[in-house]
Amino acid sequence: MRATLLLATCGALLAGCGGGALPPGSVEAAPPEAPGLDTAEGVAAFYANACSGCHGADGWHGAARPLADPLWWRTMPDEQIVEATAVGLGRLMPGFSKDAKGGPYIAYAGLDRDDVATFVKGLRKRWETGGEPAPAGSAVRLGDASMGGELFSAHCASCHVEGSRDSVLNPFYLANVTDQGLWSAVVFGRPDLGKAPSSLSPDEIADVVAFMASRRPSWASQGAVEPPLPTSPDPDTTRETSP
Amino acid sequence: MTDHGSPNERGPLARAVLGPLSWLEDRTGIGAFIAPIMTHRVPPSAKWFYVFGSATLMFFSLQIVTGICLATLYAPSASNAYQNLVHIDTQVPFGWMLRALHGWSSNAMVAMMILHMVQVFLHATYKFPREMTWMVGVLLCLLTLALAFTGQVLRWDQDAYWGIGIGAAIADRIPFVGNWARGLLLGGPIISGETLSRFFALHVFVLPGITIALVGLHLVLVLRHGISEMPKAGEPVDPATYREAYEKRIHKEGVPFWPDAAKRDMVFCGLALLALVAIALLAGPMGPNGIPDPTDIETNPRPDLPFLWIFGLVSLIPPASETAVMLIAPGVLILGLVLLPLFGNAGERAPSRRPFMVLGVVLAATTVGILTWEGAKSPWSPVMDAWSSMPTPIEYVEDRGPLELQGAVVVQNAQCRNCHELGGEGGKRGPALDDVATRLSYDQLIRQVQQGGGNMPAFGKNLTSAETEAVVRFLLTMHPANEPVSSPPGALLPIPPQAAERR
Repeated sequence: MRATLLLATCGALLAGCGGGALPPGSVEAAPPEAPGLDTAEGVAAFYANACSGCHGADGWHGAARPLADPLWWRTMPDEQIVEATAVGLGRLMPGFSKDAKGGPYIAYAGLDRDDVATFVKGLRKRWETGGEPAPAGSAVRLGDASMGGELFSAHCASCHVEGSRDSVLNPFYLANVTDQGLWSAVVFGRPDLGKAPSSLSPDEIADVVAFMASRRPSWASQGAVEPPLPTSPDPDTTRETSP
Repeated sequence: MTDHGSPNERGPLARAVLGPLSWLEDRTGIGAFIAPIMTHRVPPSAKWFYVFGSATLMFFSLQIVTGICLATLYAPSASNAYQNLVHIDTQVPFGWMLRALHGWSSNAMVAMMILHMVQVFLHATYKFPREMTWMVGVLLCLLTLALAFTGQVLRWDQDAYWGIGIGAAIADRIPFVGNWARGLLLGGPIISGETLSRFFALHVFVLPGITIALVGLHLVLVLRHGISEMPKAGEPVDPATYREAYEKRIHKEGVPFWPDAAKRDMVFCGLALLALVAIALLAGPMGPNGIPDPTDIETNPRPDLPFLWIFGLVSLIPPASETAVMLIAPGVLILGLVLLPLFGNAGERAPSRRPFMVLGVVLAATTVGILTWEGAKSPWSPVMDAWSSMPTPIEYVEDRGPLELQGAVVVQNAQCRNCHELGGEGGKRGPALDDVATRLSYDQLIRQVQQGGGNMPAFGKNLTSAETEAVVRFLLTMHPANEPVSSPPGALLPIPPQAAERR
């Protein structure tokens, strides 16, 4: 009798566990508790926790693009910023929402795209100030690479000496940066590090970016450090593509 | 051999059952082989203290059964193993239960084995004539731990990755052959698909095979020397007379193993099994906890319970003593355990007459208990969100070139700072990076990042060559202004030959 009872209890327990479909304890993690992202404190707290590591404590002087740059906010539309924040951009900017490429960073797994959009709105409120957007606009354009090469020699090469630590034609540098990143670097510069935005026209910028993108190596990214550099691809085939 | 009477004298039903049985017995003699084993006489004093060995064997048998079932579902491929486990947990009916039973039964087997060992140690059962039984038992203990460790690696999650990373780092410390030992363990210089195949082979073929053989030997030895009596103070073991006295007593007072002693084993094993099912139901399967990726260490990896104390120990000891503690101490401990009966195979067995041995057990239990607690509590790395919340110090950003700035981003993204300090902020597991360029050259930095070493995992599979180059370029700027970098200046910025050619 006891054995029957015991078996029945075990059976009931097993049946109670969702027919064995899901292991116990596999409930979805609750979204992180923080001051709401629709408040200035919430935005500041999330920025300090998730962004300041790369973008700097107050949006300046970080290893990555300064987010406190008002020119950048005046130029870039929310959709583009939300996309990059939610999903990530290239390999150096991770995504912070559930849709992130290669899975979300676990601490931020509770965020969905709407949360990210709220956060970006908060950042814009914090850092955007009045003025004109960058003349080049926000759309990345790749112009004529051969023309860009000449412009590069004339306007950039004297400081960005190839082979020096300031080189921007270093194959490793180019392998790590997206076309968007190249374009942003030219258009916005790094004002916090004393590198002013370029004074070239939007068309010239498109040419220079195309030239730099054409110098990007195409070796397998996971391989050993043996760069068999390709010949420059035909400029016409490199338009509007991101690696 | 057993007396069932002539089949012709029985009813048709009995004939139908017993006929084939006695045919089988006649042709194989299996009953004649097992009967003396089941009925061999054991001391009547062998009571509840003696159940742990049987329970260990029971859990090992359960491991074999559940392990075979799991082997039919599991694919030892580095790219699929993780998803494979998720599939078993969520899609295969009761797959999660199978994994939970296998995982918790592994812990239970270790626990029972330790209880068995402690009982044998306290009662000095390893003394004459059972020295070899003990020695084989110590080997079985090591094999059990090896099975638990290799099994943990097969989960191929964060815990597995860091577990094997630390295992490889320990192997790497062996003088002279460290590099080779690590290669043997990992199937290459870094953790890769070959590592998983290797651990699969170990966990599924090699280790269980050896364990089954040694369990057999252990049991043969137990039968050969008989089960020991409960120790009595004032009745020391004398090798000259022990065998004769034991035989005499066992003939006079002994009870058959089946059913007198076996019933206690069965009751205990049954209760242990129920407890296991309850734990498996409540706690579910172990892991998988996060995809193995050293650049994503937010999951706070932990080794499984039997190894938590090692984890706690490593987190407490000063780095200078690590080689001694990780390599020499286990060697001495294992050798000491194996050779124990050779140094004291005679004399008193009762714990009351061996106070130092009892003290040793208490001390060991307390130490392992505290270290396990420490291992469970101690942060894996003091600062788990350093990578995203601690800005690169401004002085390390200023005057850096574009590639070096990318490197600074990779240092944040790859979560280097969760273990390494930069500007006084970050983890303290690894050395601070502020002056790393004075200690390591370009080549050494590349090697360290790609292959790991010391206690650092290998990042070769998770950073691209361009990211590795960027990190190393950034790290090469990390030196005080008045101290030169350790690599020769000419090697600072080698340009790939093709690029140079094009220029």
